[in-house]
Amino acid sequence: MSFRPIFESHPWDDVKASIYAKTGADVERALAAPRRTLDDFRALISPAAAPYLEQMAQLSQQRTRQRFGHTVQLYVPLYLSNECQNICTYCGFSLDNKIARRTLSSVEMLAEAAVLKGWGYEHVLLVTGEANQTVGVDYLEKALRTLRPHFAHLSMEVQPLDQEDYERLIPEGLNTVLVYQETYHQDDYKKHHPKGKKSNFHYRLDTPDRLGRAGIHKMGLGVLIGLEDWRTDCFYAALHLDYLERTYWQTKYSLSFPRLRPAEGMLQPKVEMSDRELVQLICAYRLLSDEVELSLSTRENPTFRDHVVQLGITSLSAGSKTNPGGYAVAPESLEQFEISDERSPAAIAAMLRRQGLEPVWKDWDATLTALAR
Amino acid sequence: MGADAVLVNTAIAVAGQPVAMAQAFRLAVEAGRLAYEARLAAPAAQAVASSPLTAFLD
Repeated sequence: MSFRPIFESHPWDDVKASIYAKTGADVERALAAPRRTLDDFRALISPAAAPYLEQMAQLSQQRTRQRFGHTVQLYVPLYLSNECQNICTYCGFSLDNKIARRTLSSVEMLAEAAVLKGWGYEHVLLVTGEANQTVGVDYLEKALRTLRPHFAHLSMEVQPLDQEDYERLIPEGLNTVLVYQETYHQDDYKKHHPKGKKSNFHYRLDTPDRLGRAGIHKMGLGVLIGLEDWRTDCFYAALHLDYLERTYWQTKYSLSFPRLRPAEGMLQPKVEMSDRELVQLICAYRLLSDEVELSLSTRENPTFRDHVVQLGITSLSAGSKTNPGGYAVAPESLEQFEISDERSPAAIAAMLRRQGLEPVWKDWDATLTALAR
Repeated sequence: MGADAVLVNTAIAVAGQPVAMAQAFRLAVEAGRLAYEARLAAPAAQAVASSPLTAFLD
């Protein structure tokens, strides 16, 4: 059992044509449906849904509050390494970028962790590039062991691993893994990942299945918006989510929708997504799934973030640095990408409170992981 | 909101400060007329948020 046959039964051009063929009547039907299907989702992300945006936003807000209450979770990335053997056309850490490479030692991790703890964080996302020699499974295990006593929830956004590797890391405190397909367009994927392990489209596509089989608590999916037609790419992310929710129903899911931002040696986005279109996508995802967490990073600007926390977003990062050592050890090293919202975590928490929302610093504890097994 | 006239003689005459009361009635009549001419919003069967969630995108 895997996602691959489902993926292969949905040719890109057919999916794209079906989205662009949707009409206002299809959108109205989707909005009125008590439970929405993937076909309804096609209508909601289509150009035909643009005039219905306010209605989508109202419904999305209502459903988000029903399921998540007036809360927004806060998390922060902790970059452990920028070493990478991949060439990715859009990433500042790409192998062909001549930048100083750095991998944090345990002592340095703890120095970074102390800053994040001081800000109140209990949820941390560990990020590395893909370099098996330096940041392979042994290193990740060491990182989890080092940081686990200090945080309630550890997520990872690192290279895709084998199922046995995930099975080894989960007992060490790994709660969540984010693995974005970047694009579900196979030819385009190849173009943007010409070298390194990441160039294997199918190994990446199968990763959520390996995570599900390993029994991960939560996983995050998404595409990098800007590489290909966003509507089609995001349909595949929804198709993937739908399959995973039904197959690995004990796992929680989150979705993210990063828009390409300037980075060292980066290409310009092939497709630009407007703010209005990103709101449409956020609402469409919420109207498809009540349960899925929707996460927004500091790539987006303060005005946009302040408004969309009311529309369906359930998780925000704040105070982020995208360079290893950025919080304490080496604040001047090169970033993976520039951030747009530089407000402190305290300022973000205050913004949420002003809007009647409760910032959640901790919604999980290691004790619960033990009980769940 | 479509009255043709108002009878206010006694109300003004017996007020503590008749001139101020006359001024108050004048403003009230002008306010009413202005509101009438501005026309009320159409009734709706369902509640509609008065501050649209997507107005920030305009």
